[in-house]
Amino acid sequence: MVNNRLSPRPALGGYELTHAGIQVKERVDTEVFSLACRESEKASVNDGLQSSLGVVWPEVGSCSVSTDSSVRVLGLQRDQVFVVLNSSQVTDGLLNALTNVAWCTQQSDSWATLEISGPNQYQVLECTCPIDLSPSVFTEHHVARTSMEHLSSIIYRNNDSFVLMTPTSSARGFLHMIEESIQFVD
Amino acid sequence: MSTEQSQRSQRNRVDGGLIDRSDTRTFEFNNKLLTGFAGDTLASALLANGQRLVGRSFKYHRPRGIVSAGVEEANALVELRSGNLTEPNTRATVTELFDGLVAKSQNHKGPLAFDVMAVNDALAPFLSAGFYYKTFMWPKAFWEKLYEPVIRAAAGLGSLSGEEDPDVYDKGFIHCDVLVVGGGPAGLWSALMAGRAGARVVLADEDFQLGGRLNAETHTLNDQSGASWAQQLIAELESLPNVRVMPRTTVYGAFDHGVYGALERKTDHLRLSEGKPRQVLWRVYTKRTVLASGATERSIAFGNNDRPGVMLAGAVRTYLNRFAVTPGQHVAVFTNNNDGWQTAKDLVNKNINVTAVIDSRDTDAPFELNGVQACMGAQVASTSGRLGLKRITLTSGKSFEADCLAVSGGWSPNVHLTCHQRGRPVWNDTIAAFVPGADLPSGMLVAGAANGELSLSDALRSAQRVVNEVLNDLGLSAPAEALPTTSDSTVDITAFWHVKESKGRAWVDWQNDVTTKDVAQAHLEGFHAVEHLKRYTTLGMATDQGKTANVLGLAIMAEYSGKSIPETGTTIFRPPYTPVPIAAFAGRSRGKNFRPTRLTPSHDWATELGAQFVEVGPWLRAQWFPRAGESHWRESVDREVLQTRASVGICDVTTLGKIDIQGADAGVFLDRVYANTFSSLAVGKVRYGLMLREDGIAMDDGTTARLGEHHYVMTTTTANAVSVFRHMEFCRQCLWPNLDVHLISATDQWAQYAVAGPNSRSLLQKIVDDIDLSNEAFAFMACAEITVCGGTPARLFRISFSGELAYEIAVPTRYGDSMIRELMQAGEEFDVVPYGTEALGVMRIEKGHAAGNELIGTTTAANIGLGRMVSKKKDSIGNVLSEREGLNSESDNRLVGFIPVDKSRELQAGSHFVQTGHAVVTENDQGWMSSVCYSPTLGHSIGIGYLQRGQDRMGEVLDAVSPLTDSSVAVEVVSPHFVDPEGERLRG
Repeated sequence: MVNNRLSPRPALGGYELTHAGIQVKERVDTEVFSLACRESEKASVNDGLQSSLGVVWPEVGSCSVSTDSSVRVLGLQRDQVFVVLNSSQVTDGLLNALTNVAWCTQQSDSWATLEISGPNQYQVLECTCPIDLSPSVFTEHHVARTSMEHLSSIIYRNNDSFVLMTPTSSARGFLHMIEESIQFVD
Repeated sequence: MSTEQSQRSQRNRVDGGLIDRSDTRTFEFNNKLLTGFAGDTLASALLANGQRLVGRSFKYHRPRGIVSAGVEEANALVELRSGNLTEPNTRATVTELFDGLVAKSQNHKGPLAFDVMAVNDALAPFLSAGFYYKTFMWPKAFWEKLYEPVIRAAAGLGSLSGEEDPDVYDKGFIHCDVLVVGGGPAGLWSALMAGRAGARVVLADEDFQLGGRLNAETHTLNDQSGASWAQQLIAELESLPNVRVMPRTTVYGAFDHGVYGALERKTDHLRLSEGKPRQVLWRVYTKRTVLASGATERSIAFGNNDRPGVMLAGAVRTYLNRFAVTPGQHVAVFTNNNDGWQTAKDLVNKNINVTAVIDSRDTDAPFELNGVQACMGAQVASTSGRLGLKRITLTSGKSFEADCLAVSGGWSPNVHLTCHQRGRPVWNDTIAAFVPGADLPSGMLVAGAANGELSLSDALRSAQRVVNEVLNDLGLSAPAEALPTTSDSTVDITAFWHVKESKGRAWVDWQNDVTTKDVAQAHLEGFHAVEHLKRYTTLGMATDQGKTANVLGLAIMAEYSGKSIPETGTTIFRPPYTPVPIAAFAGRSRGKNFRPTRLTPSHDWATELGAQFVEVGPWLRAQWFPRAGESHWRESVDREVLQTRASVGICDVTTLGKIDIQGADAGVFLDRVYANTFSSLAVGKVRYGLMLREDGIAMDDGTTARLGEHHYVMTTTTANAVSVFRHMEFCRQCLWPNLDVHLISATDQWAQYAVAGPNSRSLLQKIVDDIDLSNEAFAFMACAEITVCGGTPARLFRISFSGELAYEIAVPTRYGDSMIRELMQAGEEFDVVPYGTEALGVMRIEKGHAAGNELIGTTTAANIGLGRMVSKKKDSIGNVLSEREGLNSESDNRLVGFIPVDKSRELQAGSHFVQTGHAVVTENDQGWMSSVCYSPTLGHSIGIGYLQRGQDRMGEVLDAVSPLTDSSVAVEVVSPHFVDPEGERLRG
């Protein structure tokens, strides 16, 4: 057996940028799990989520956020949600809890996650994101699955910033799109 | 150029205006250095410099000058900038003047003043409407060889550089409650009231200076000048956080569901865009739209009404009041309404000599102007002046000196956007124009001149009414704000379209050289319908889309037809309102941005090794890994194949689709989507699966592993990963919603590597943690969830595409880069080789595996020798229709192998098989070669393909012919399994 342990490498190498009043940072400390269940099982799944993570199964387009904001459930489709939490929270106990409440799939490596913030973030996002991100319309309790420059993405608000999730394999293209948008900012 | 020189060159400048005289701007027109000021358009600067002649007309090459001050401009189209930045057909009237601007006139051979193509004008009697259709019909053969090339060479305005456009363009999305289109008085008022009420407002105007006609007129509001009042409103609008003011932005189209297209010219007013987008195409989503797009003045048709110096009267006021330019020193006015008189008044107030006002109305003059001769009930019959107006002659024979004639035929509301959802405007006799009909795009309301309310007070009142309705719809309270008191005037028009006693041709559409005679001819030849009139005469085509000409042409046709204008009809408008560059539609989707690529986690590692990459769908995959001394790709590929078969090779197979399937009914679900059975597959085992379409044709294949009682993971081909997932979701959600099964793509979750060759087990044994990989413990088609390298979670599958002892090992993507490096390091003692898709392809052909070349949308399971896999013990998609008689004939094609009889010959994919000596005709076609390669293992070319009754024809010799390359190779039919036909290696 080889002695070397494998080294994790973030999809975008832990990217960080501050430019033109915009900060972009790759989030490398989050884990994503997909949970799926049938409509008839939602009530019991809800109970399980409430007791294990302090969140509920949200409606499509909505988020459920735990009181301490450490766990967020993204309502992506009627019978499937994504649970997003900090890597440090992932324990065998938690995995068991998730597996026990619904059909659970690890999705952390499927998605690269970028957080974008700063006063000009709207200028960057309006170039490519078709969603109405106005604070009065798209609150912290909203999530949207959309396409930005033909690339699949999930977007939600995290306080004053936006979190963008995009498939790992095309993440470099996605980042290029964000960088280009930043260059275009007045 | 000094300030003094600059001012001297601008001999037509007058006092006042909204230009910044402290900011002189130098520009070139036809290589002549001129100056203007910030706030000028190219047109106003040209007029300031006394440049009346700016281009030649499309068909007759007539001298033409500036006629308008806006987007409706038909004549002043110039070629802007130079080199790869050249942009032809740019309207000088809306081109903001910048320092260093370079413009050239268009459509002439030789100097602008001596265009040799002007000979066309002498041939005008032969070039009337319909000329081409009637003339170039014989001899028939001449059309393609002579007529068309000559006409094409002569046609067209301006020219492209032929070079790539270096500018960048972008697109974007804007959301609002209220979109206000137009920044004139009605638009500004609507936007301000909506903004103050708290609505999210977007105010878009095509001009760089908002204010619309307020900047062009001498009206007052609350004792303020119109321009000053506009500035006050704009300042407040810009201070409101819920309002977005967008100058230089044209809303060009109204689309479904409250979506509008808008083109923002971000850097067109700068010499260079410096990497910023030149233009941005916005998609605006709005709940309500206030269309306040104003109105466009139209002309009157009379003899030689196209000479440089003949302008629209409202444009003359714009140049005078906004740009501080008089278009002439001796100006006459020809009008059918009071607006023309306002032009004369403004000119007199600036001490410009107005030689006469000719009014077609046989009434009293609306007011007297000192020193101006009023000719009531009079008409202009003709004009003179070769390259610019010198004199006008009335039908009475009286004539006047004039270097500018301001013509007003009335105003047409800009109803264009109201028509974009098939809305039809209606005729309004009071203003002699079409106004918006009742069938507006959903959520749109029209205010101001666009709605036919042409006076300033009426426009503001309508804006107030409309915005109150909008705010009420949105559940917002309208602010209590009194309308300003305005100085006002009415248009008071008596419709008058053309001077019948004209001497010389009377132009209806300047841009397309359409005259009243052309309209008459269309009428005579039966093209009465408006749409026919347009197409027969070209009236209303090209960049201006007939903004000044349509109503005039229609009215003249109505006169010839003896019908009213509403009875004659109208054309309705389609997007775009003004031309939108194709580049703006493309946005940033050019070059590599046109199609983003997907990369595997080993991409950087492969790049470091100098891999050649190939596009596989959106993926970039390593095709082969050249080494020093290898001069041909075949050398690399042969080495990779031989080394893999001799020892061990590693290939990145991350791109294969991976679908995670969970649920109590996962097995049942797979039984239904696959032709073969999966519910009986043991946990820890993998099975090859074949998926059929509803019609029984093979759709995709791959392996599916059972990781748990209710947990499977399916692999698909790279190309079909998305379509298979979509198909399965359709099955899950629509066909069998009661099944407890859940799908999620895991393609990006796992980095997966094929480790193949006799030493693959030994290599992997060094990587995995505490798992026995012996044949007894981990047999062919086994799978397991394991850990590697001291604890990293992984999945291991014992499957083989190469035909060798082989495994596929998957780790979470974040470990993909590290994993490939570890595998390579661990394999050093075995002389491990990375191999790319070419070697992968060679090995699968040597093994006889069907792939994309074989599964071509007409392939059945039987064709590839897998007919027995379609289980009849259960139902599955495609099962029933796969039994169709036509798909199950003994004479059907079967997948077989081919080798050249002469081993030195190369086979060609796509070759068709005919029996030796038979003619190469369709009737003799017996199949085709689907995949070929050079087999380094066998030392010669091999192929697989489909042959009628192929299974019964082993040893037969045929001709593999390729009519495309005119080649023929004698081939022997063999088993498609060239290497290890018994499968001993992969089971070993």
